[in-house]
Amino acid sequence: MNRTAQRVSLLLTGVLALPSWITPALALGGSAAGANPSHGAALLARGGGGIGSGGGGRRGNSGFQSSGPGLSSGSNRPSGGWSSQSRSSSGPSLERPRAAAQPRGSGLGSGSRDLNRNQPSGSRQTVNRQTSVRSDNLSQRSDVRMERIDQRGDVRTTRIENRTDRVEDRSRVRRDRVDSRGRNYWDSHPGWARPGWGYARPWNTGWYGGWSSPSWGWWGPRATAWGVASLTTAAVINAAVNDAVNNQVTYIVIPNSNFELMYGTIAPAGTDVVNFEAFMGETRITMRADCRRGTLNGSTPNTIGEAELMNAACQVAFGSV
Amino acid sequence: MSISILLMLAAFAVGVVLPSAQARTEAPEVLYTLQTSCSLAGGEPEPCVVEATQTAEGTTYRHVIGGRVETVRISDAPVRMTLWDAGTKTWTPLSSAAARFSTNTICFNGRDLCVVNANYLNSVREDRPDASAGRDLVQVRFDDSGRVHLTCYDDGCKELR
Repeated sequence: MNRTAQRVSLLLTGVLALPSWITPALALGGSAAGANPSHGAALLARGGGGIGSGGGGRRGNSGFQSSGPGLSSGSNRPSGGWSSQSRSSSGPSLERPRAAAQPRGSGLGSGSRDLNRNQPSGSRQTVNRQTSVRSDNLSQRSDVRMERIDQRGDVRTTRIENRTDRVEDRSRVRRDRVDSRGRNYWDSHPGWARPGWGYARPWNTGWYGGWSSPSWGWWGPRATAWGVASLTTAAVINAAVNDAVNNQVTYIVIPNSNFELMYGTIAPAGTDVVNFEAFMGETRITMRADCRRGTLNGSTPNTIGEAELMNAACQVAFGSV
Repeated sequence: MSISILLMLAAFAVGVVLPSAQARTEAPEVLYTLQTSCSLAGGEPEPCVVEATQTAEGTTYRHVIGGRVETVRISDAPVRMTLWDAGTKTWTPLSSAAARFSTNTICFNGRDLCVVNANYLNSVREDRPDASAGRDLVQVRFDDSGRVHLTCYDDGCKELR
């Protein structure tokens, strides 16, 4: 009797000594496996080890890895978090929404230039971006501005020509960047940065825009000094993000600047402030904009480019769509 | 002898504690509560509240539309979708589901129940980046057992009509 009890206790001691991941399986016994057949299937799948008996070998590409169902349970918390309120321009619909009218660059000054430069073009070629290209752009812009003042009659033609050149240059750079970064970067985009992004933004706070002229105290004098009448409109910025999303490009080009806004990095902090990343040329930078105060990294913008960058980040974060 | 008894008691305690601990982890976890809009049978949009809950069986979406409640449960691996039948107290497999990313809409059983739920689509977008990138419309259809037997995207879904 004594020996039997000792054997039983040793057996139980062995059970106790087993790793914790085994013990529950033993404790639950066959009932758990019977209740959920998928558990057994999952364990079998883990034990398979792919092709070959040795396990750990390189698996062949089947071509079907991405062929699973296009939907999931939706239980994994997206990187932007859960929203508690859905905003929508209308009710639920499976119909493709009407394409927003593409605004044209008329009567809004240089800020109204179309940001939509993400469309693939057969005429674009892949070249390396060089500092001289940027310098050329700057000098071209200066030239354009002078011509605008001196020769108003020719301004329109010159502007169009220069714009075409600029678009060509930037398109080349963009293709470079897309090529070098590859699609993996796009795949790490937050879930809200997709078609319908305006209503998919998980934060339900914030405000931005809706003005004819920005309400920041510094705007008037600076705008005069910069020779601009207005910032890029919300419609243009929204259209640029739409196009970037549709073409799986991770950034939008900010007009009048060397900045490119990585719109998927936008992360609001409260109702007025947004953190985001941008490229200044080839340098990736992290910035913080206070949309209500009109400050970038705690200071008022020093250039129209900085003002445009802040404007775009605030619009994508808090603006209406 | 006394040591053996102690070990037996310890083993008994483990046997008791483990299942109860597991039971605790299986308690439903509310993922989010969403105020949004829904439509029933292709009707006009109505305000509704969606409560998403995680259980051992899958994610449950409880839609409260006025005085009506529609509950859908979705599980992964394999993806299955079922609708709670309050009359029979059973989960009934859905025949289809469709999502349009650009309108943040998911519909179940054709247009029987549609809801604007960006949370769901944001999660799907991050769950399946390869499958969802560049897609707008996604449809899945289920066989009688509730298992997916067809998935289509965008223009590919026109082939199903």
